Parts: sequence; C-alpha cells; structure tokens
Amino acid sequence: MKIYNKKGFLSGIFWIVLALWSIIHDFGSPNPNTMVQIRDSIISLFLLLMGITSFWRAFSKKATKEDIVEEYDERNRLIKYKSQPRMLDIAYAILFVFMVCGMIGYKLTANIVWGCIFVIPGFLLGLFLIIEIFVKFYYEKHE
Amino acid sequence: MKTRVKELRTAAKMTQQQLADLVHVSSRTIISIEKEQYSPSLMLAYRMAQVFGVTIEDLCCLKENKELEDKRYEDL
Repeated sequence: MKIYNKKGFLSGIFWIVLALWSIIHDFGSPNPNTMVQIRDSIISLFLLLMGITSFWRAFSKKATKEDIVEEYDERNRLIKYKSQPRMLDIAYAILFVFMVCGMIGYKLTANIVWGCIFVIPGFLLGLFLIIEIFVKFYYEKHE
Repeated sequence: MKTRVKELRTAAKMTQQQLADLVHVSSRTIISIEKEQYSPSLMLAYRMAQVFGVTIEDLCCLKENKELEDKRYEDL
C-alpha cells in the first residue's frame, strides 16, 4: 500500500499511540470517580477514532486529494486569517477584564490572589503587545 | 461581489462539486461565491473564466461592480 499523505499518516500514528496510552492508563489505574473515568474513556475513544481516520485517509489517493484541496482552499485560508486575529482580540479583551478585576480586587482587599489575577494577565498583555510589534515589523519589511 | 458563476454553471449543466474539482477548491467556496458572500481571488476567477470560456471581466461583472463601488464612494 502506498502512503499518499505522509503528514496525515504520521499524525494518525501519533493520535493512535496517544489514544492507546490513554486507554491503557485509564484501565490500568482507573479513576475512583466514575464520571471522570467515563469522560477519560470518551476522550480516548475520540482520539482513537481520529487517529484511525487520519491513518486510513493517508492510504487513499482520493481522500488525500480532498485533504490537499481543503488545506489550500482560498476561502478556508481566508477564514483562518480572519478567525485567528478575532480569537486574539477576544483573548486580549478577556485578559484586560481579568487585569482590571484583579486590580480593583487587590485595591479593595489587599489579598495576594487578586494581585496575581492582576499581574499575570498584565504580563501576558504586555508580552502579546511586544510580539505583535515584532510581527508587524516583520511583515512591514517582507510584504 | 456579484458574479455570473451560478448562471454560467447551470447553463453548462455542471454541479458545484464538478466546478470545484475543475478549479481545485472546495464546493463550499463555490457556494459562497454564488451566494455573493465571498469574492474569488484573481487566479480562481481566471480558472473559472477558462472553464466557462469567458473573460474575467464578464464572469465577475466587473463593470457593474465598479459602478456600484463608485456609487458607494460618492455616497460617502
């Protein structure tokens, strides 16, 4: 059998190995909480199915062609280019809200937990800003 | 953007999937173009124009779309 999609083949193996490891772990040392055990089993099964699908598709010429078309499809790429910045905008907004809440909470209670809620999002926002500046510089130069 | 893709495709008795296969995109992209939700890239427009044997200008109704765009700018 010929492998048409090496990337899919490798990712399939990766997910299958991860799922098998998870299943062995789940049944080797089961969690006392039944709900957690059921959740872990469902996740393992999902991973296994994902791995088998990816592995199987790697041997099919038609499926590989479909995967390549999906990967290079210009509308899919546009959606990706639009959704990732939107996701970052939402992450910025959430971090900002956390930072403000942390600041207010710390001011009112002087509790260190609120201090952490203020400092960590603040640090992440600063880091994101610096990364964004460098990325913008890069694209200004190369596009 | 308004295009004549649906009109030309139905005239050619072609399915969306068949057109998508010929121009190497997903059928969802063809659906979006036909619904005027997505504007095709220059290369995709060229590929589709070649399939239907028309010019890009004709396929994408460029004259009409330019007039609409100009009107929008005038209204600003």
